[in-house]
Parts: sequence; structure tokens; C-alpha cells
Amino acid sequence: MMFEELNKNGEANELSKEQRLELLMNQFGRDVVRLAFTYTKEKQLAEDIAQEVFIRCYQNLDVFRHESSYKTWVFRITINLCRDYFRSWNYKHITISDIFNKLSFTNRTPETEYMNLEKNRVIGEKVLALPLKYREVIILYYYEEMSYNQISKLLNMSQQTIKSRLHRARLKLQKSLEKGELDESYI
Amino acid sequence: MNHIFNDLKEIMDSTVLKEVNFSEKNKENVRRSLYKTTSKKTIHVKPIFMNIISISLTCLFLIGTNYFLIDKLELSSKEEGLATNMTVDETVSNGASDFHIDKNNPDILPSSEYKNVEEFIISAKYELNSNPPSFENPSKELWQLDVARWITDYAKHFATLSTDKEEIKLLQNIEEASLRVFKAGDPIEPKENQDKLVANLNLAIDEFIKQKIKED
Repeated sequence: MMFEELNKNGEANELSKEQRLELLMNQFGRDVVRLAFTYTKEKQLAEDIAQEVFIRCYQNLDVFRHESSYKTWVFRITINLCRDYFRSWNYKHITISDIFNKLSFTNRTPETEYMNLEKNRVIGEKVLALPLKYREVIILYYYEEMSYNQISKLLNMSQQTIKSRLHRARLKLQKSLEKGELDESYI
Repeated sequence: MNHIFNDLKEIMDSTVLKEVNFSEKNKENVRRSLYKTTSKKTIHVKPIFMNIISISLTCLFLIGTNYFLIDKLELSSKEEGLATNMTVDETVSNGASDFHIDKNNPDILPSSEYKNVEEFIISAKYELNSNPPSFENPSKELWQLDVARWITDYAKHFATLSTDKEEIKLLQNIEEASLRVFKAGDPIEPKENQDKLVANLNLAIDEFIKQKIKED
């Protein structure tokens, strides 16, 4: 049964903290790690962040005030942790191996990409290559299928800003796909 | 273009996000991390240690206080017992440890109002030169006679108790001067000039103050 349904019926409160955590991990685990990946673009780091998200959830389950849905709450923790990472020392001091990885990523020419990779993979990469402020609205709106209202609450921005960013993100992605270029100056 | 966005979830899930999953291993990591934190909390080593220290210090304080109180009580009861066995005169002369007190000596007053000779002298000087209390003695002359009477008694008292020859001599002078004042009021004895006698007594007292009190 979905966590939100249990919560609606009031059954979630009867569960122990450990059981609630299990439900949260089962229901949102994959979404959380993938959302984290769209920010970090590093699988291991995304997994680490996702684990930290659920640890934070467990620690704060008792004080969760149900002012938003569990999904919004969990996603907000995820986004905050990702942003914390971008502000951290680790991110600002990128290791040499990361630079090499990026170089190998950017050295692929559009011809090679179209030849070697499926079309969908290119689209996915293009989405991930968008600047963070556009990428997050695209992911939340199209991938997580959240409403303007939900995104606005999650990112603490007005709905108008969300709409505007979404519009620009679409244009940018369209241009990028037409050019077949991978913009690495995305964050 | 719209179909790309509409199918974005499928597109990304099947490509760039295909390998990204929250595996059982990740869940286990979360559980292990939380279990470690919880188990640390349940042991509560630090609070237990702090409680032990707190209880020990409280016990030490109580034992120390009790010991001190008992010790003090025993001491004070001993002192009390000693005090009740002593006469007033012995208490007065307590400072002179080697001095033998003759309880039968009529010159020693049974209940002295003064702790020591200095207190007596200062009081004598003050009372002799102050005005009489209106409710007791109507005239200054009568008041001076009364003061001279008790000065005589106390001068004799402290002279008997003293071991200091000089002090004894000075007290005897006071005793003699005050006795003459006292006798001046006697209707049988020939009267002398009371004011002159009081002045002499004042001089004797001043001499004592000069020799014995001011030098201290």
C-alpha cells in the first residue's frame, strides 16, 4: 500500500518509526536517488545523498507536521542536500579524475553521439546538461510530474517564476537538441 | 518537441537513469547507520557517568557536612558543660590561667557586669560625668555618690583579680578616690567639697586610662 494512502487513513501513525522508514524507502527510494542524480550527475554521490535523505527523514519523522505530502517533504530534503553539496568544499575542489571524466564526455562529437547512442540517451543527456535552475524545473515538472503549485512550494519560488523558467528551459533544450551540442556550463 | 517532454520520464528512465536505483544495499546502509546511532543513544554512557559523579559528590558533601556538624556539636556540648560547672567569677578570670581565685574573698563580686577591667573603667568614666537619669536620682550629687559606690566595689574587685602590680596600684587609687566621694555624702562624716573629690576621682580614672588602656 502507498504511504500517502496509509497516512490518509491514519494507519501510518500506528506504525513504528522503523516501519514508516521502510515504507518511505520503498516508495520514494528510487525517485530520491534519481532526483539526486539529476543534480549531481554522479551515481555514487546520488546514492550517498539518498541514504542521507532517509536518515534525515527517520530523525525528523516525529516532528513532521503534515503541512505537505510526504513526497514533497522527502524531495525537499533531497534538493536541500544536493544544494548543500554544491556549496561544499568537495564540490568546489573537483578532483582531476572528474575533469578527465568530463573531458571524455564532452569530446564526443554530435555525429558520434547520433551514430553510437540511441536518440533517447541523447535527450536524457541534454536534459542533464541544462543549467541547474532549468534542469530542476524540467525534472520536477516533466519527470516527477509535479504541479506548479507543488514545485513552487518545494523550491520556495512563485509559480510565475516556475512557469518562466520552465519556458526558458524548454527553449534551451530545443536549441540544444537542434544544435546537437552538449553544454557543460550547466551549473 | 512536446512528445519529448511528455515522454521524458520514460526516456530518462530507460537511458541516463536506468542504472540509478536505490538498491537493497543502500537501504541496508541506512538501517545500519540508524542502528549505530540508536544503539549509541541507548547505552547513554556519558549521562550515566555524569550521574555517578553527581551522586558521589552529593554523598561526599552530606558525609562531610554531617561529620562537621557532629564534631561541632560534641565540641559545643563539652564547652557548655564546662561553662555550667564554672562560677561567674571563674568565667571573668578565665583569661588568667595561672591565677588562683579565692571564692570566699569578699572583695570579689559574685556577678560582675563587666567582662574586663577596661570595660569597667570606660563605663565608670562615662557614668561619673553624665547627668543622672531623671526617674532615679533627682540630683547630680546623689547620682555621683551612687556611681562612686559601685566604682569603689568594682575597683576593689578588679584589683583583687589582677596580677599586674601597676594595674593594682592604679585601681587602688581609683578605689580610694571613689570611696572619698562616697563618704562625702555621709551625713555623719565631715563633708568635703564633692566636686573637688569627683575631680580627683576623674584624675585617677584618667591615669588608669593613660597607663593601661591607651598603651594597648
